[in-house]
Amino acid sequence: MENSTKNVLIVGVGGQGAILASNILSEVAMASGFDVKKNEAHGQSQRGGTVPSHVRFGRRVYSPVIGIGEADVVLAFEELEGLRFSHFLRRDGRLILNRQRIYPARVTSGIDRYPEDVASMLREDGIEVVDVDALGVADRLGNPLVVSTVLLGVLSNYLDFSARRWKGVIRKVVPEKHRKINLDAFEAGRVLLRNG
Amino acid sequence: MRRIMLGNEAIARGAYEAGVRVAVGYPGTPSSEIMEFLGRFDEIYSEWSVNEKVAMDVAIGASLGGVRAIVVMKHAGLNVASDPFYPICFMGVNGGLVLVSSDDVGAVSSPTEQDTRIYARLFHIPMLEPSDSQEAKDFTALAYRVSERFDTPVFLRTTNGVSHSMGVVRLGKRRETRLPAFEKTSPKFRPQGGVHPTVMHENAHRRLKRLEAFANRTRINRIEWGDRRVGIVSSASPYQSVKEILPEASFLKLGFTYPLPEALIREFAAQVKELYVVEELEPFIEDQIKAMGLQVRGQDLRSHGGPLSKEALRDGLAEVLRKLGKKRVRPRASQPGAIARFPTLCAGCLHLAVYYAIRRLQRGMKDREIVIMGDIGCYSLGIAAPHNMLSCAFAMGSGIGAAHGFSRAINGDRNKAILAYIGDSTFLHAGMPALLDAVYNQSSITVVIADNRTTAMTGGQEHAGTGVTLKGERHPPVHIVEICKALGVEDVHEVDPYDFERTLEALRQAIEFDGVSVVIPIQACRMFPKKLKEKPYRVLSDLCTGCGQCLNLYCPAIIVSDEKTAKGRQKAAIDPFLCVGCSFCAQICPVDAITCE
Ligand code: SF4
Ligand code: SF4
Repeated sequence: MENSTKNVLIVGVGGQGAILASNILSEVAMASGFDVKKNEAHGQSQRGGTVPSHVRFGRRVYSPVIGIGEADVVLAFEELEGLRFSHFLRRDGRLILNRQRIYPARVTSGIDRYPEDVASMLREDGIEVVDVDALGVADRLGNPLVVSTVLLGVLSNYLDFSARRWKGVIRKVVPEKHRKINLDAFEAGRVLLRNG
Repeated sequence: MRRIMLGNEAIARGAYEAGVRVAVGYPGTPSSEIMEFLGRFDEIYSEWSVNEKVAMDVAIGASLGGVRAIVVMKHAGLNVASDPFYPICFMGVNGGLVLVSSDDVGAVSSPTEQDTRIYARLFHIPMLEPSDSQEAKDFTALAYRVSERFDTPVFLRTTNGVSHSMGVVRLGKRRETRLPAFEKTSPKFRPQGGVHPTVMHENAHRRLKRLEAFANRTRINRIEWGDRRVGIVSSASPYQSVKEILPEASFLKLGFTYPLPEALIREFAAQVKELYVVEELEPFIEDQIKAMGLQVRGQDLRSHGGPLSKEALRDGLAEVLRKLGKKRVRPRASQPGAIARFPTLCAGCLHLAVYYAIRRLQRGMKDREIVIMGDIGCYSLGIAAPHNMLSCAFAMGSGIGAAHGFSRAINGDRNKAILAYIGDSTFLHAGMPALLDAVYNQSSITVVIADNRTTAMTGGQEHAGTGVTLKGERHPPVHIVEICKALGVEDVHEVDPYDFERTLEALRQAIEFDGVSVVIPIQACRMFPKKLKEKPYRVLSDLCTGCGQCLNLYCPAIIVSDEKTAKGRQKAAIDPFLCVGCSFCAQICPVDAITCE
């Protein structure tokens, strides 16, 4: 074993909230006593580009970047991005895939084709895929913007932090008026799979 | 107290704790957030200067005035600032002076990938390179002690791997520093009249000797003994990557990377069987170690370009890994179906409208070819397909000078119309002198100054034309139209780019004008400083003839729908989430099929 560091790669498209989600995860890890490092893309990625955010925690973390084949979990906010970063997973890693599609310019302008069924493609490749409709859940809660908190709820099932710790951090970083809906979104994400 | 901080935030915090009083810079990825964080401290005067040279001048003035000052920029900005910086490196400082330059390794948001470490050698000044957020804070504070003790500006160099990474940082308290008295006639800042430049040069070399002695004993250069079969010299973020894949090796971790600690390097090299240097971009450390006459490997195992990923490291050090008995796990291959997602101009962006108008003008002008010399900003996203608008983009403000030179090269050939395309912030940064040059030297070009009321490419910073300072204070903004007139431009057109007909007409007149003409399309950026969104437009599917006019605008909100016309053409549709309601597409639809009712 190379080291005992846990690696979570959060990927999405600019504007989806992947960065905020990775900030919350980092805070949860630090509050739990771990060393934390994180790396994210800035600059042009904001113009509708790919946004990968690497979060690593453990006793002592060196590099902030997760290498290919090192991620314990890839949390994908968008299908194509899930496909793009799937090889970052360890052999026994798991991909949480939000069933949402955002078409790149090369698809809308007819140059490229968006891949048909990402979840099946990845499963055929032997990857354990947990696919969820977080946007649907967020819509039902009344605000499509809480997708990222729903996805954190799903993610929380695969990491060893207590729900109390997660909620404590969410309470701290989310502004007062959005607090309740985000806590509900987190809870909805947590139980999403159990209810099928 | 411990906090998770971005490397850039940690640098700002380090400057704060070191008692810095003046902070200046110009935005540029990956350095921009440093100034934004510095701006939040009441104790620090901070400003966005109009360009990096001016920022450097201001910081130097602050240092002469006896306070600790920091000046912040990206690699390309250091090229601009090098003019005043070079002499001051030989003269010395009064209050501590620290230059932070961030290299965009991987050229994520730059026209070039540049290794500014080489400047440390050229400037004869010490360089510190942190490898994570904690070090970013600590080294910034240390840089001020070195600056004042050795009477030199100090270079703090970071890369994206540190600037845009976060790590846990322990906070300290601010320490106010005692001001060295300002001496009005200090000979050291007055070459020729005071210390002669040749003497300064000599002094700089003597100073380097003393700095090297310091480098040999500072704690930020340290040996970490492990397996002595393999000794690795490394610094900055590459240190973290190699430490992770080969924790059992022996390391010489360098934080103070110029001048190099020769004695320490020799001591380390003598006790390991094989010596390696792990660094990114240029073989900066490696070449110097080789010049010491030591056997070392490095550059032959890696590429010059791009960030040094763990995969590249594992490939480069495959032999070493094998020797130390480490097995390589073969990771999965990447998925072939993962098509690229490139950054694009935003829905409703003014550049889309202006580019479209230029293309339409070109179509109507069979006898003249429009050639556009580009510049640095969001509009450089228009270099790529499907836009293919700009013939070049290389440095801030250079498009105007290049257009002038190009027009001279074709020597009055009426078959070409030469345009320069530049943004507001870039114009104020380095476009003004170039425009003056073109006017003074009787050029015949058209300059488009697309004014989106912000510095968008780097995240929406304020500038002299917005009337807001880094500290959020409001002052009367400068007017670009008036500047152009004052510089002697006789033909100036101010237009709303969302008004298609007027924009087209202004461009047509400007191109016909014999001499320097300027067109200024003004519309606020859709993204910064805040996201602008109005009611979305939609396509009336019954009326759409599938002519594709609106698709030629390349607005990301306009997509091809699944519906077809009787003739089998695909109709257009608008994504209501992306559309910001700029109305431009409605104006260009020939059958009025786009509406916002
Ligand atoms: S950030 Fe602003 S200027 Fe840049 S592409 Fe988007 S709308 Fe245009
Ligand atoms: S109105 Fe038309 S051009 Fe403007 S943002 Fe919407 S779809 Fe794009």
